[in-house]
Order: sequence, then structure tokens, then C-alpha cells
Amino acid sequence: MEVPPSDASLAARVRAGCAPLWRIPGGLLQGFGAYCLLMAEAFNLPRDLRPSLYARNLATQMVQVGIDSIPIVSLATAFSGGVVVVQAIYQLENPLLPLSIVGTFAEQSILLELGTLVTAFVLCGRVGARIAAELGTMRVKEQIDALEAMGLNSRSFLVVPRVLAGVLMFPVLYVVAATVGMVMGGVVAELSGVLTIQTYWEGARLFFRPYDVFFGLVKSLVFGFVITSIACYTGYNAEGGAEGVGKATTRAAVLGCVWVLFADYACAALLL
Amino acid sequence: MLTNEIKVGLAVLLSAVVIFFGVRFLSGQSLFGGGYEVVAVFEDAQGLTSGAIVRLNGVRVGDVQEVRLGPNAREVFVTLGIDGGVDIPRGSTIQTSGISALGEVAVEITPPSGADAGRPLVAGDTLRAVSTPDIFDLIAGESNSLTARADTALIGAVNTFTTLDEILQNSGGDIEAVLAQLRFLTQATVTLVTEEQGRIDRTLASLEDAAANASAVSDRVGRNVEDLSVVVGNDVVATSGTVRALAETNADSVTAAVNNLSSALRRADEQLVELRALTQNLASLSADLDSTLNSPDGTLGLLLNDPSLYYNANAAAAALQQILQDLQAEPGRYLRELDGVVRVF
Repeated sequence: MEVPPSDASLAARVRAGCAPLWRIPGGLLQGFGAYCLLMAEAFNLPRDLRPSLYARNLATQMVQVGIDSIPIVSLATAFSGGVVVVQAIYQLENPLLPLSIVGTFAEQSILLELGTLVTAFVLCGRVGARIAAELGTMRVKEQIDALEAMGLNSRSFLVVPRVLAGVLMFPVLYVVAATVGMVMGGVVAELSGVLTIQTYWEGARLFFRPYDVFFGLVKSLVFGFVITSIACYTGYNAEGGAEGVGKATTRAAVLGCVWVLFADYACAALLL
Repeated sequence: MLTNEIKVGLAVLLSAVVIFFGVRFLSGQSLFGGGYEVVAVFEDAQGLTSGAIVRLNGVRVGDVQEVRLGPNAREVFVTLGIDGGVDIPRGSTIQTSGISALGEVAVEITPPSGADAGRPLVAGDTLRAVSTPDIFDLIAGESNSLTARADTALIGAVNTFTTLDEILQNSGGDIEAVLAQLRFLTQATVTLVTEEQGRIDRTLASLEDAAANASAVSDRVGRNVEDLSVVVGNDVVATSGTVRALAETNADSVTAAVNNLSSALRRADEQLVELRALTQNLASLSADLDSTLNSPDGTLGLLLNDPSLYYNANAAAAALQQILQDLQAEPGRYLRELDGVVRVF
């Protein structure tokens, strides 16, 4: 005679059936919670704050994150500025529109969006991947455990300088990106033969608002924090040897780009 | 040797400098000072914004620094940043130019003639600007005349189509008249035949009677001739007497038969004349109708034989209906289309 299932076994079967549905959101929530805990523990500085130790590390990271990234950021935004101008000229078919509108397009696009977004994507690959690989290697080689054994708060020691370097140097990179992009846009406008560089700057100045620069700087602060903190999280929690380091590096680049896009929308929705 | 700290410090410092001068440059301010500001008071700023160009005799001499409303929003105070070394004579005329919709509103300064030129403006001076009508105000001002012209055009179109409709209706009347005439003639013919049916029957009966009488007379004559030949063969004298007697006996009958025959033939002849006249009238009417329908010069002929007129009228009516519906739905589009006309004024 077949025995009917009890209530307890039915609940277990329901839980087992629903487990795959919960896996993805549960994993996301668990990861986000671990990320928040890491940041909270990293910035819990007063317990072992030693300015000299952190300052030297911070300066090194600022150079690696900011100064060393200037060439690649300049290259990327120079082409972005040029492309914006070329496309604006291409689309400027209405004879009633003044040619100076090309400069307006370039100024609005570069200062509000491209200057920060292109720089962020470049840094996701260059800085985010480097930080994740660096911390991941330290994790799999148990150097982080050694730091803990030495009595250091490894989270603060490793994460804070890198995140601070990103937050402080990203605005610098934004200034470089915006300047190079705007100047390159003017050069391309002059070379196009359609409008002069004076007309280009007239258009750029026509609707310029200083708030545009402020908005770009705020966004660059946010992007700097997002990129470096995600890279620190993925690298710090790497596991499984060289393969784990590779996965952490990939996750740092991908997650950094995705969360930069979310942050970009949030900044635009909140600040514009 | 450049340490990391120096590198970072230089980068941050240079960024701050670039931000400072970049914002001043893009805001239209002088990078290193040296310029001065004057205030222009406008009744209507015409969409002027900060950063707009200030021209003196068409040469750029500065930018608009600030646009703000005055007390009670009666006036607009526009701060003009003038480049250093540029003197603007007192008494110059200031006005806006360009179209705000295109983003090209600028401030135009026109210095006075030589005799009226005063000393140059200095920082803080205030000028009252000359109000200039906006291009869209001009368009709005011309809208009444545009509307009147549109009304005139529409009235003309309506008159044209009314005339065309009258022509069609008149042509339709001609057709109806011709058909009515034809119908009348047909009815008249039927009526005539119906009314004269008795007379025609009587005529035909008379003709038959006459023919029968003639036949009877002929038989009698034949018999008389036979009798006569018998008589002649027997006795010429007796026969002559008999013939004479027969002739005298049948004289009334022969005369009556001949008279009846003559009368019947006369009536038949009259009826034939009337029928011939009626046939001629019908033939003439048919020829007129045929020529009218097939004539290429007549309206009726063209309407019946030339399909292009029908197609043209049909297409014109459809196009006008579409234009009227479109104009009713989007009058602004026709105003924009007439923008060139407006510029003429």
C-alpha cells in the first residue's frame, strides 16, 4: 500500500523545486551584501589608521590609476571628439541650422557624456582589471592572509588606497578627456573644411553652462568609486588559483562596465 | 626626480587650472581679465542667452554674460562682457538680431554717426536697447493677410467648381430636354396612331371594299363581254340592244364602285402623306440628336465622348477636397509653406 507524502516532505520538495529560481537573485543579493560589507570594513579606518603607511600606498595607486592612464584616455577621447564632430557635420543637412551647432553638439556630448563614459570604459579595462588581478593574485598566494597575520586590516590596507585613488584621479582624467576631446573636435572641424575652428568654439560657447562641468566631475567621482571598488571586491574574493584570478579579472571588467552604465543613468536622472 | 606625490600634485593642479580657464573660455569671459561689462536694458530679450555673441558693426567684441529679468518683469537686464581695448561710443544703438529658434540670437551694437558719438562706455554703464520685432511676430502680423489670401484662393476654387457644376447641370438639362422631346414625339406618334386607328381601319376596309367591288365589276364585265360575244355571234342587232340594255342596267353600280374606289384612294393618299411627314420629323429629330451627341465641339458631345474631362473633373474635385481637409487639419503647415511669401513682406 502506497504511503501518502507527509507535509514535511512536500515542503522540502517545494523548496528543492524553487531553488533554481532563487539561485540568481539570491546570488546577486549575496554578492551585493558581501560587497557592502567589504566596503564598510575597509573604510572602518580609525581602528588601525596609520597615515604614513596609507599615504605612500595612496600616492602609488593614484599614479597607477590616474597618471599612467592619461595616454590611453587621451587617445580614446580624442577620437571620440573627432567622431562626434564628423557625425554632427554629416547630420547637419538642414541649411537653416547654423554651422556653429556642430560645436554645441560636441560640447554637450563630450562634457556631459563622452568625457566620463569613454574614460570609464577605458578604465574598467585598464584599472579595474589590473586591480582585480593584483588583489586576486595576493589572495591565491595567501599574501592577504599574511597581512592579516601581521596585524593589518587587509581590507583597509588594500582597498582604501585603490578606491580613493580612483575617486580622486578620475576627475583629473575627466578634465584631460574633456579637454582633449573638445580640442580634437575643433581640429577635426577645421580639417573638415565645412566650418572653421572659430565657428566651432562659438557653437561650443553658445549653450555652455558651468554646471555641465560640475555634472561631469560628479559623475567621474561616482565612476571612479564604482570601478575601483568593484575591482577590489572581485579581486579580494578571488579563489582557485590562476583560473580564479582570471575569472576575477573578467568579472571586474564586466561588472565595472555594467554598473557604470547604471550609475550613469542614476546621475543623469538625479542631477540633470 | 618626480616622485609619485609630485606627479599627482601636478596632475591635480593642472586639472584645476584647466577647469578654471576652460569654464571662463566657454562662458565667454576673458581668460585673463582686461574686459569690462556694460548693462543693456531690453523690453524683450528675444531668446537671448548667456554666451550669445556681441557684435560691434558686425565684428565680435564680446559675449552676453547674464540675462535676468528686472523688477516686476517689465524689463530684461542683459550684462554684456566687452573685450578689453574695444571702445563703444556712447549713444550707440543696441538691439538683438537672429532667430531664437535657430539658436543664433546675438546682440548688435551700431555706433552713432560721427557727430553724435560721445565718449566711450565704461564698466557699469547702462544702455537702453532698441526693441526689434521677432521674426515670428512678423509672421503673426502677416497671418491676417495670409488668411485673407487663402480665403480668396478658396473662394476662387469654390467658384470654379460651382461653375463647372452648373455646366454639368446645364448639360444634363440639355440631355433631359432632348430625351423629353423624343419621348414626347414617341408618345405623340403612338397617340396619333391610336387616335387614327379607326380611320386607318376604315380606310383599309374601304380599300378592301373597293377592291371587292372592282373585282365584282370586273366579273360582271367579263360575263357581259362573254354574253356580248355570244350575242354578237348570234345576232348583232339583238346583241347591241342587249348590250345597251345591260349597260343601262349596270351603269349606277359601276359609277358607285368607281366613286368608292376613288374616295378610298384619296383617303389612303392623305394618310400616307401624314405618315411620311411624321417619318420625316422623326428622322430629322434623330439626326439632330445624333449630331448633338457626336459633335466634338459641343459640351454634351465632349461630356459623352471625351473621358478626359470626366477624369480631370474627378481628379480636381478629389485634390481640392484633400487640400481643404489638409488645410483644416493643419493650417500651420500652410503658414510654414508660405514662409517665403511672408519674407517678401
